[in-house]
Amino acid sequence: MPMPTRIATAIARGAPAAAASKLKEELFAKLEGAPPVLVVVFASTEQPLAEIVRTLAPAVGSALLLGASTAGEFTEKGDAKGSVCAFALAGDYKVFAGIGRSLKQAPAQAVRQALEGLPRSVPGYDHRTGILLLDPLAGNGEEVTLLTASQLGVDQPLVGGAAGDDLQMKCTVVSCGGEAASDAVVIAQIFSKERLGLGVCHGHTPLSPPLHVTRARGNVVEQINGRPAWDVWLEQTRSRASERGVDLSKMTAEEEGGYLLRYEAGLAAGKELKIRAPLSRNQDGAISFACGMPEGTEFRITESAPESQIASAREAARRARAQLGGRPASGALVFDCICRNLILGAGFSSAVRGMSEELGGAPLAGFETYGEIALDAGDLSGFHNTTSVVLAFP
Amino acid sequence: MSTAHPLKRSIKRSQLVGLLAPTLGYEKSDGHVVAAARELGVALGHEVRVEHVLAILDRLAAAEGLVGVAARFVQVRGELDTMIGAAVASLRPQSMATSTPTQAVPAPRAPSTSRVSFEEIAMFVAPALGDVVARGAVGKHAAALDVRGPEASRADAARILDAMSQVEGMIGVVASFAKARFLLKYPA
Repeated sequence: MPMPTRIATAIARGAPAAAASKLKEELFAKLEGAPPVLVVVFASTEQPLAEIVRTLAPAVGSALLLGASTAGEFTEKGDAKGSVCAFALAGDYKVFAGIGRSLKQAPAQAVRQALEGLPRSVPGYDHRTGILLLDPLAGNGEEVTLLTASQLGVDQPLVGGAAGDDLQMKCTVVSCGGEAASDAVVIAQIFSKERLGLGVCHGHTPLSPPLHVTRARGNVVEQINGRPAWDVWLEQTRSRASERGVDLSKMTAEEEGGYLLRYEAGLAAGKELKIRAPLSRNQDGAISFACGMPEGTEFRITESAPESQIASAREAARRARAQLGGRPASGALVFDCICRNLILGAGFSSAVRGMSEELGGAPLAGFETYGEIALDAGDLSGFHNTTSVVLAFP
Repeated sequence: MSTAHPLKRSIKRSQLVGLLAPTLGYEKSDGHVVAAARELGVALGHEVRVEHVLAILDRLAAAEGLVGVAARFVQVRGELDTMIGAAVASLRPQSMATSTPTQAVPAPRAPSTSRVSFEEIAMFVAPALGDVVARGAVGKHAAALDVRGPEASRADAARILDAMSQVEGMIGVVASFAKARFLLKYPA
């Protein structure tokens, strides 16, 4: 008789140690005695991840504990800021993970370090799914995703998210066990007897005419169409921002991160738009992105209407459920772009509830990211922005 | 580099496994290397003699499916040459004789004669790089390899992606990943 899957979610605020204790109590109560194999926590900068995992690690027993700092946290009940939420999985799964450091300087080495010693197969568990959590301020999200996929093999689905820091763009953190670090990557392998469901969708459309990256270094775009990148971004979005009642000339430094994540870059990639997230303005007018932006890149600045954001979140959940092959969803992990919250504001909670409804009312927990990771067999790119990624468990 | 005959030099086992890993994954690659070594009667340690490397790759290249595809691609690319400090082709007759004492290794299958358009090659990297950079990079590396468009043989297309994969930074990482996908779609 296979062990049934049980998933519990919880969200807490207050002093970090007290919030962690509350999470533990609620998760274990909801699991009703089933021992968790995986616990994932998503923590605002107001709930320092290192402190949260230090408190939780001894409490979760033999379960693997993973985490990321966030730009917002949510469960099926709704979203919050300044809080910490958690997802606990119990059932017939085997989960392993590792952490790699010096992600910016040596991404391939960091990936190898995270994977070192992890089993790549478990007898009796035919399905494996990777979870990737990374520090996006290292500026190589796509590269790290593809390096990880290369190491895991071409047939393994991979999901995850880039950590956030409440739009401060200063320090994003990931954790594995009781260890939390920035400039790091965490890679987990979930071995299961049944296939997990993966759904991905975004709802952005072009706003600007085609623009060209004319000078760049790695993930830093210095010039667009021969002019400072920041100037071009302001020029192309001023009118639309004004329609929303935002005067870009009065924007403060603290507001710049949110502004950039609302108007992201869309690369023409066949019939699709590949969205790339600008994260911060440098003093020289260049813009730092969450992954490499080679010179010569042609893109359009994009935006999204609120209704498109709600519809695409639901669609991602529908796609994840469809992959379960008719089995009901026990719950889901969700990696959702912070831009959705910026666009929807108070309506973001309804988008989250919509995802849960599409999953038959199943519990879910997730965080608002600076980049989403989803790579299924056959995909050629795995790092996304402005996207909802849903990993559903049968 | 050692002055010993190239066949008597060694590379790390992890290097050999790493050549196959982009297509098969590290663990699976290691498993196939171990199995091939066992069949050849080669004891594997942390280091592997070049003559044994070539024999192991020959055996894997004769396999059906993705394992054979991955091994055959490793055989035709230059990375192994760089790793061992000699051209693999110049070593092959001797290595075949010394490395397969008990069983003959079937010859690799003839390469596919299918043609691939430059546009299709570009589409293997466009999802991550965008269409414009993808087309530009394919055109640039094709020209450097003296491959004239608008189509290339399967082998030349693989060489183009291989050359792109040597570029530092994002283009190299994306092309390296795309190459594995390309091999799946266009097996030799």
